[in-house]
Order: sequence, then structure tokens, then C-alpha cells
Amino acid sequence: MSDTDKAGVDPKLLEILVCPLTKGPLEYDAEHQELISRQAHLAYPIRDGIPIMLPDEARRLED
Amino acid sequence: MTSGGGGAGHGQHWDPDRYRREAGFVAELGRPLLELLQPQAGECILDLGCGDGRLTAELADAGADVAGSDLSVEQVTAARRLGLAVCAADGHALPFKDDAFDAVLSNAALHWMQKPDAVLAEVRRVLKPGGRFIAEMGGAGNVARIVGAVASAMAQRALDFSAAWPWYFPAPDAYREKLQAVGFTVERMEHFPRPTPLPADISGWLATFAESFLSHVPPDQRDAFIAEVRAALQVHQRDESGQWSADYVRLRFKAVLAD
Repeated sequence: MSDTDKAGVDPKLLEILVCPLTKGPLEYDAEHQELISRQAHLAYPIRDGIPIMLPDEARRLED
Repeated sequence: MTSGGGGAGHGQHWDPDRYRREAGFVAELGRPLLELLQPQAGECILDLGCGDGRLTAELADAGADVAGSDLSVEQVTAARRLGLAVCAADGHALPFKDDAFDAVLSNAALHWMQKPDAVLAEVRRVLKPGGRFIAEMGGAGNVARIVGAVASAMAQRALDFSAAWPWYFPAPDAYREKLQAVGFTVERMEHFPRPTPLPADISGWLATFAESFLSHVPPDQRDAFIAEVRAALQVHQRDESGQWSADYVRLRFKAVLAD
């Protein structure tokens, strides 16, 4: 899992990531570098190619 | 290597530069785990609590498809610089699909996660049927002398030692039961003392690993506190040549899921 795309996130890692709270799917927002969990209403940031899968660090989604 | 979570609130932080200097031995001593793991090319392996990624990189070199996770953003940033696929995550709530991995490896990290049942349920969930879980962690009695000296120095200042306790150091039987309770068969379980030479003084170890205790000591008393702990430990933890060591006791195991 060492290949990186333009944004620096490992594509194979993206394939196996889920929301740590709901274990539901994530949407990858490449432009904003976020992984969005609709079920949890959270957007997890990706910083320097590193998904930060910590609810405390996530942005709360507006409904 | 570093925390997988739960202990996040315990005031322990990780400075990658200091970690490399004071804790380089951690990855070195993780090598026997690779022999237990026997990583095969193309296998998907999670390094749980990957820290700065030094051992993770060896897995990748063996041809495995490796992912690393660690609660410390600072540490995974260092691991990312090695080109590793890592994320910041809490070991109690892993962000991976069910059945994502052929094996989970964890070196010197599980003792930072204070709710072992939650962690083991997560490890089990992310492993495929037949998956292997190979780990080393602090076991019952780990750093007992060091911790005893810290406890006395805290008691003298009326500081609450047990509230600052950041670790989980299980006895082998207790941990075996927990592994079995979530469906693992325990193939190996070793509990052994491993006195570990330190790269510098015990003060460096305290600053690197015992921040959760030090953070309870008022800043203007910390130097005196460390000096007191150091003096108490000199007899047993420093040899004639001046070499310091830590009284590590480890638990190392291999557990597998049924096919």
C-alpha cells in the first residue's frame, strides 16, 4: 500500500477505510480532502495524505 | 509502539524526534514478532499502533500490503514520511472494513489501550477467517520498579497515582481468556522479563513514556521529582558502568481465528 495518488492518499488504504463509529461507507471528497460519513454526519480530514479517523478531529456535517 | 487509544486523555504525547532517540530500541526488539508472523508477499497486514513506522516498514519490505494505524497524529506523520499507508485511529474503534486483513501485528502498543475487550473485538472484526494476531505488549509486572519509584514520589506530594496510570499490563492467563472469548485460538503465549538497556538516563525514559505521571506534577517541581525517582532507581536500574535499563516484562503471543 505504498502507491500514492496526486493528493498523496494511498488508494488501497482508501478502499478499506470505513467510519470508525458506524463502520459504514465513506465518501472521498478529493477537492476538500475529506472522508465523509453520512451516517455519522462527520467529515474526517485527510492531512498530508494521512486520513485522520478520529471523531474528535472530524468536522460535523450540517443537515 | 504508541498508543492506540483510550489512553488518549492521559496526557501522553509523542514527539517523533525524542521517540527516535529514546525509544529506538522499541522497533529493534519487535523483530521476533516478524518471525512469529511470517509475513507473506501480498498479504494484507495491519500494524496496530504503528508509531513512527519503523517495524511497519520492515513488513512492507517483506512484500506485504501493509497499513498502519496509531492514535498519535505526530507519529503517523513520521511513518507517512517513510512512504507507508497509515492513518490516525483509535484501537478501540478501528476505521477498517470487516475481514480487511490477513494478519494484525502490534508491537508495544496494546498496553496503552485500556479497554482490551473493545480492542480485541475490533481486531477480530477486521481479520479474515483464519487470520492471525501477533503482538508484544507490557505484561503483568512490567516496569514495576520504575513505577514503584514514581508512585512513592507522587505519594510524598499527595498526588493521585492511580488516576494517572495510563497502562494495561495483563497476566498471561487473563489475556488468553480475553483472546479466547472473542474466538481466537492461542498458539503461543509467553510472559518474560526483558531488562532493556536505555540509550540514556532514566530521565529520558520518564519523559518519553511516563508523561501521564509527570503531567500531574506541578511544573516547578518536576526537576526535583525526576531527580528523586532517578536516585531511588540507581541501585537496581544502573550498573557499575553507568548503563541504565528499564525492568520490562513482556507478553508476546500468537493467536489465530478459525477458518
